[in-house]
Amino acid sequence: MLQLMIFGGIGLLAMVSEVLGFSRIMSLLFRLGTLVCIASLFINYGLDITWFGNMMVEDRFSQAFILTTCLMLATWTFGFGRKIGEDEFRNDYIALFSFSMVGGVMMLSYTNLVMLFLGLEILSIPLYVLVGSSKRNLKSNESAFKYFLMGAFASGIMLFGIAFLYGATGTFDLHQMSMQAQTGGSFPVFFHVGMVLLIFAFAFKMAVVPFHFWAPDVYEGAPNAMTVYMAALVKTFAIASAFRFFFLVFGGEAGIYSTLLIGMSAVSMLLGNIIGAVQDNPKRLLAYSGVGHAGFMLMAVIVNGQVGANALLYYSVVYSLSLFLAFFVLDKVLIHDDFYWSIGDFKGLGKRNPWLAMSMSVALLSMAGIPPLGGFYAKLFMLKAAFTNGHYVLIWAGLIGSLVAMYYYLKFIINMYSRNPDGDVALNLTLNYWDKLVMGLIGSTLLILGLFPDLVSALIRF
Amino acid sequence: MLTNILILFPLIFALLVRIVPKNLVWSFSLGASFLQIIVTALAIFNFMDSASHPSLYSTFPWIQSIGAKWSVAIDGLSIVLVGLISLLLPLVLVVRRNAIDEVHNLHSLIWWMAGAMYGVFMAKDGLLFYTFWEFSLIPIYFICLKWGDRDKIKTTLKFFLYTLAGSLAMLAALIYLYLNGSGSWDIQDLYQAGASLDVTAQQWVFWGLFLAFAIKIPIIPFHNWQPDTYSSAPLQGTLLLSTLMGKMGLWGLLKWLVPMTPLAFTINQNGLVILCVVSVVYASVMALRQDELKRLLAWSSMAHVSLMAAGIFVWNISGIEGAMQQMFNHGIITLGLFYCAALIINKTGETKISSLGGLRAQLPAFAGFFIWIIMASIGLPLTSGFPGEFSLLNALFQYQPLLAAIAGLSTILGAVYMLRAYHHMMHGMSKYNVHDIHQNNKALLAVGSLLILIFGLGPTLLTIVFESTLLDFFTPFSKLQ
Repeated sequence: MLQLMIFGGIGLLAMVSEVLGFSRIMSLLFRLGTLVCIASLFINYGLDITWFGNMMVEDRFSQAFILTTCLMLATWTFGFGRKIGEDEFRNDYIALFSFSMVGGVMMLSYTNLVMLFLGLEILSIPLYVLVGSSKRNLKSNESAFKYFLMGAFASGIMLFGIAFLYGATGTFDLHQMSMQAQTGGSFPVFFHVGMVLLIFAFAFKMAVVPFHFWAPDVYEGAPNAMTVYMAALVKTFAIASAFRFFFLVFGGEAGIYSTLLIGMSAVSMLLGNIIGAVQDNPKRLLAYSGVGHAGFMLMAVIVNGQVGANALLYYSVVYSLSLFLAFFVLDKVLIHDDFYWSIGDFKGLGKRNPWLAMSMSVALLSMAGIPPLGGFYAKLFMLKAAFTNGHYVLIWAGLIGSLVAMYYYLKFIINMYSRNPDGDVALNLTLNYWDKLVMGLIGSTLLILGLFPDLVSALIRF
Repeated sequence: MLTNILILFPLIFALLVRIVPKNLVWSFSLGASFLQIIVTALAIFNFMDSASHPSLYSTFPWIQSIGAKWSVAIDGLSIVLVGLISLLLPLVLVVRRNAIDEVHNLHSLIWWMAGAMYGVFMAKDGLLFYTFWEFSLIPIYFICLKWGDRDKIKTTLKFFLYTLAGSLAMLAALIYLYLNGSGSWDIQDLYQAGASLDVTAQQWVFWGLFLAFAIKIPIIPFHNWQPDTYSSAPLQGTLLLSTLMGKMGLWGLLKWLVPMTPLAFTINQNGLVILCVVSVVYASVMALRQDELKRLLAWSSMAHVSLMAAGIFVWNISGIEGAMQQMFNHGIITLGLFYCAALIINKTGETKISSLGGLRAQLPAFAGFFIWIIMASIGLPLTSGFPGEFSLLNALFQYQPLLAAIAGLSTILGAVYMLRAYHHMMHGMSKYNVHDIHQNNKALLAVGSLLILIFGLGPTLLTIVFESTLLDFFTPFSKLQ
């Protein structure tokens, strides 16, 4: 709740800061606010707090996820904040990011479907603006338009689904819904319709097949800082909120709906990675790889329970950090602004700038799941969870997907280390100490999380 | 304590060697590798003193949420391979002193690889084993990618994807075993978990693990990556791959496959032994038909490792003993062979055997060493290639005389292709005008030749180390065959 107030307050302050003349300290306030959130979570950790007449409950699950997403936000600010801080509209950005965090926090701690919908909308609307924030850029406008159109439909579908669920159960409250589900009352058909619609809406935000079509276009067009925010944090919010829904309503495996989820997860892991393997634009490639990773994370929703929650938490942290690192490098390498980016831009990066090449390798190998980087243990926990519940389809899809993914991650590495840079590229990419610090810290965090996965993977105890 | 030192020092050296001044890199690496030899020697002394010496074990909790431990140990079997790494490391590090750019990066990767391989041979925890297994793949990939010859991009990609496919299958199998066990990744618990599974489940686990090891060794039909990778990799890469990395697969068969799934193994045993023998003959025939020197050696190496795999699958004392001996000796011999090949290619710039000739007149000392190493590779008595090969064929004979006869064919074929290659390259008309090899090269070859002689004359030097451990290890599983 404190987090809601802090982010909401910062958002409001940022909006009026230009008028009242304290716009200079806004970014400092934003950073401080994030830190206060983190600190408050450390202090209150483990206490259940109820808000808004039981419509939001801050339990271990939501605390763990809010804590890690705030940490991710801090890392994100640390890595990309400088670039945004130089923009003339920086306070608008701060307001938008703060509001989207408000939405995210709501999605992580709702116990009432109304709150879920509000959270989703509060999260999404700032994102539509942020995606299009490079406003003189045609691609950015295109992606904002696409994202808005598709996102509006997804919100509509979610609302439709919630309405059906309300019609079937007579309540928005997840606990009451769960009681009805567990007493074995048979639901009318439109309960199932509502469930399917709700799952589709979640799937859209997660970008899992078959609702992934927007992701490559939007990732490609949006400015790098926004793309990585979407790919890392928003994906975490969406999957964690889906997890929360199934956990609270079904308390574990979701019967017939898990078949649907298994199908979507398996197809995402296969299709996302296979399509990724034929991409040449690095941002689109990472978007498709993100589809594959979303499929992997969806495993946690299917398995559910404590094991699933911890696996999801660890996976989302490691995946977010890997993406931050990858996009940080991408931001430095894809400097020509014509949108004709290709993996060829990475040619000879090992010679042009060993720091960037090494960071990119660490990020990619972590995403590929090579020990002892964090990505491996993330996949291990997921696979273990899926094995426990006997979902062998997911295991096969996950392993094959990882193998295919390795192929396109290696394409980067091959270009970086064994090809010579094209003649017309400036041979030196200069980095300042700050850049090196950012890359070094994120990279070593990935290694440390890999060596000591218990730091994150045991945070949640139901 | 010694176990941790052996694993962690190389990883520390891998970082240190990057900041050492460039002209000191060689001396630093050489000194560090002698340090490793001293530590290994200390471990061997401790081991001979008492097999359960406290310095040979180390266990700490690692990932408590899933029961994985940092659990490493040196026993009589692993000490052979640990010793092999320590022995070969200085040789691998000092070959080709000049003509390498970014030497400190190369040495860093070699040290990294060494640390990971020490870990593979010492790990007593399933997850730790897998971690080291994968961890060793990255440096060798970068070595081959960065310093390799032509075609390196295609061949390294193939190599990496092949091995990763195997590793992922192994990962699935290990997780499955772990979930059916008592919540720990300890190798003994995994043995129990594997033995308690029904046949179908054991078959799945068996083939999952087998895939990983068979690709690494490699055995037919998973060998496709090997000749390409060996011939396009830089010398150091080839040496690491052929002398040490293939042994990881054999080690896996011995420690992590057969005892893990006894039922599935007994069902598949016949087929596997036959597969390995076919692999031996196939590789020998392929070697016969090669004209490119490095490819010939790659196929010849594959024939030898397949025979070791056959020895392990026969699963009797003689077979495993032969495999252990041969793993050690084959490492030294292969190092010598590839080193000679690299010298020839370096001197003449020619990779085809048929276009070489008459080198003996110009390189008399080299010719002497070369023929000695070739003799060892063929398995001539008094060289170190003989005792292991003899035990292996003996084991196969006990299992099925016909198979031994077929596999024995490979010895003859080996003599044919090796001696023919030697004849083509060294005898006949002199086509090149080359200078004699450098003193350093001679010293290195002399060390290798001496090792071949020592372990050829006294094979007990090796067997005495692992014999009792082998018996202890083998006895609970002896009725499998």
